Amino acid sequence: MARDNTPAEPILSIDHVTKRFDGAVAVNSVSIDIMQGEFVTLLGPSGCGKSTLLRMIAGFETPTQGRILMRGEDMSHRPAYDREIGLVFQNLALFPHMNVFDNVAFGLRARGRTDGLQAKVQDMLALVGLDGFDTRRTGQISGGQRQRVALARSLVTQPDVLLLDEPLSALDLKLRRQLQTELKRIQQETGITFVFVTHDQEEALSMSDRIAVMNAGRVEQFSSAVDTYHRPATEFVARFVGETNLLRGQVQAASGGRVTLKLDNVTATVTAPAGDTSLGLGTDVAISIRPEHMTLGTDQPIAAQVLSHSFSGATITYALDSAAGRLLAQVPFQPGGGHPLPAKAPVSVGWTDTAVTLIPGKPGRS
Amino acid sequence: MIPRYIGIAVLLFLPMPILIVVLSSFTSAGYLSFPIKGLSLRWYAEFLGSADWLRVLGTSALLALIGAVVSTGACFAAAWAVVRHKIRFGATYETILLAPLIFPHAAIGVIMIVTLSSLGWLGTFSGLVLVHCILTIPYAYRPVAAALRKSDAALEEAAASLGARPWRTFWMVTLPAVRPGLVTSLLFTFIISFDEVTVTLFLVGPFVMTLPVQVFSEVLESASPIIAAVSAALVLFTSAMVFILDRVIGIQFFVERD
Ligand SMILES: Nc1ncnc2c1ncn2[C@@H]1O[C@H](COP(=O)(O)OP(=O)(O)OP(=O)(O)O)[C@@H](O)[C@H]1O
Ligand SMILES: [Mg+2]
Repeated sequence: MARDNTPAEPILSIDHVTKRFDGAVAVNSVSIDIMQGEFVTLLGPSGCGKSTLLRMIAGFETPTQGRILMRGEDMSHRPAYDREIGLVFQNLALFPHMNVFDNVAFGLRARGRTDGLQAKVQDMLALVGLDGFDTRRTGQISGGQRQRVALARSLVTQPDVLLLDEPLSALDLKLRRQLQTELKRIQQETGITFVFVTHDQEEALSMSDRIAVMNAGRVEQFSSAVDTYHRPATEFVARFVGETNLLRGQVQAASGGRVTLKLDNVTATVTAPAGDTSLGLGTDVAISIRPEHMTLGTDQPIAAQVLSHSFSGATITYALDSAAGRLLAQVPFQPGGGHPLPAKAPVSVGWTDTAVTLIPGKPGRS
Repeated sequence: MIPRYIGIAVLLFLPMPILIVVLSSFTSAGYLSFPIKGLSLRWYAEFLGSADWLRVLGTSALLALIGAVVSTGACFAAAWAVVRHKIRFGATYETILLAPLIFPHAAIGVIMIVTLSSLGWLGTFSGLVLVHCILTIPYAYRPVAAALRKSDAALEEAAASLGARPWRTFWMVTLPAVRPGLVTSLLFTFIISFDEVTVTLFLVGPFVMTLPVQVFSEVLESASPIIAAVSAALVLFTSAMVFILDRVIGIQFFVERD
């Protein structure tokens, strides 16, 4: 990631942007900076405002409040056709009355860049793996191929930023995985900044440099893919990105950058890195521990009972009933290693303190 | 249940008058009658050889052409505002545009006499153009609005995001998408205007006359088979237009609900 060593100006700045539709808030005071060449994902559940934010960046909606800047220049009064921003629509919006070549050539012709048009279009079709498809009608190609045409059409004009609104959600899983890899390769080859929208957390984690997790119009966390998963800042992020175990408790002691918690329901204490937050004694906090960081055994602090298991090849995940509530524990699977444990088998669970993420805030907030 | 043969009988009966008119146009007799006496094309020759008939044919064709283009254009602008810009009270405007469909034609005729005479347009071609636009607007609005609703606004946004200015987007993306609706509108408004009698009857005068009204007044005065020949020519012309356009572009939009 270039941003770590170049303190350069962001290519795209979203500055306290709010959008209201007839009083209902769709996007709520969002501020994020996106750097040149980054692959940023907006991740969130349906209706959280991802498309609305994207449409404001593209120039199809006007923010109710706040500004959108490109290379420091305010875009507020610039019409969509005058922004160097490409957009791949969820339903693709290929021009039905044009063939593949004319679809891809549209942007170059519209911008009057017709020098070497033929070659540019052919190169772009080659980049997305569609050599020889130029004269096909858009109705005569498969879903994955239509996807590639949409991508080629937006990329050929070399926009500063390419916005992609759930471009893969209509495809089946296998094709989806394949196109994810390809999208990432194309992004790296072209060096174009991508802002990608999805509600699939796995897709977000595998593709992004940074992820903005959105909930009800707000950005809850904007951080690297690794931090989004391993250092969730809110309970919502912890729950939405991957599976997790959330336990609630109160601060019992805090010293030397670590806090000790007294957990609800269980008479156990954990110590966790406090991060930058300073927490008073007795404050309500939650901790998040990923299922793969749970330890399953017979000498762990919390007694539990196996409810069920699911096997996924390399690992096996147990749903457990414990004094601390329902917990998930994922362990490596080795043939002959005694797994899977039968239902109702008594076990005990624990975790290593370093895998615990402390989430300040009121219990029940999500 | 209604027996099936009643339906079949009705369907067979409906085109009978047309058939009778067409058949009686080939008569060799000097008066309208059915069954016909002898076979001849003399009334067609008379129609096409008459400067009077050709003049009103020209007037009607020009009137229908201008009416079709103007009301289709106006309806496109209106449908654009309602469908794309989602203006306030859009549904109310739509109802107003469709009102001439349910308004009694005699009433429209009277209202138009008053309106046109206050404009000084009574008995003029411009007056007829205005009235025919009003009468044909409902037939233009339905197919145009349906085509716009059917064409995805995202296509226009895609064009804009690719750098196309509004006019380019309009010509390259919007127009091709709504073309079937526009053609349907042009066709039907042309036919409605070309065939319009009831309201036009109130507004023609010594200086301007349309073909169907001329037919009507001829019927009142004489029973010349030339009327049958003119009518048969109109039927043929209208059917040919519908058939060709249906083949070339498809006119499903008019029947389809929007
Ligand atoms: N044009 C509009 N008019 C009124 N409300 C709107 C409009 N567009 C979006 N909204 C509302 O704004 C909120 C956010 O919508 P948005 O489409 O941005 O969600 P999203 O995150 O893209 O969801 P999804 O994953 O389902 O696409 C929703 O509650 C939606 O109903
Ligand atoms: Mg969306």
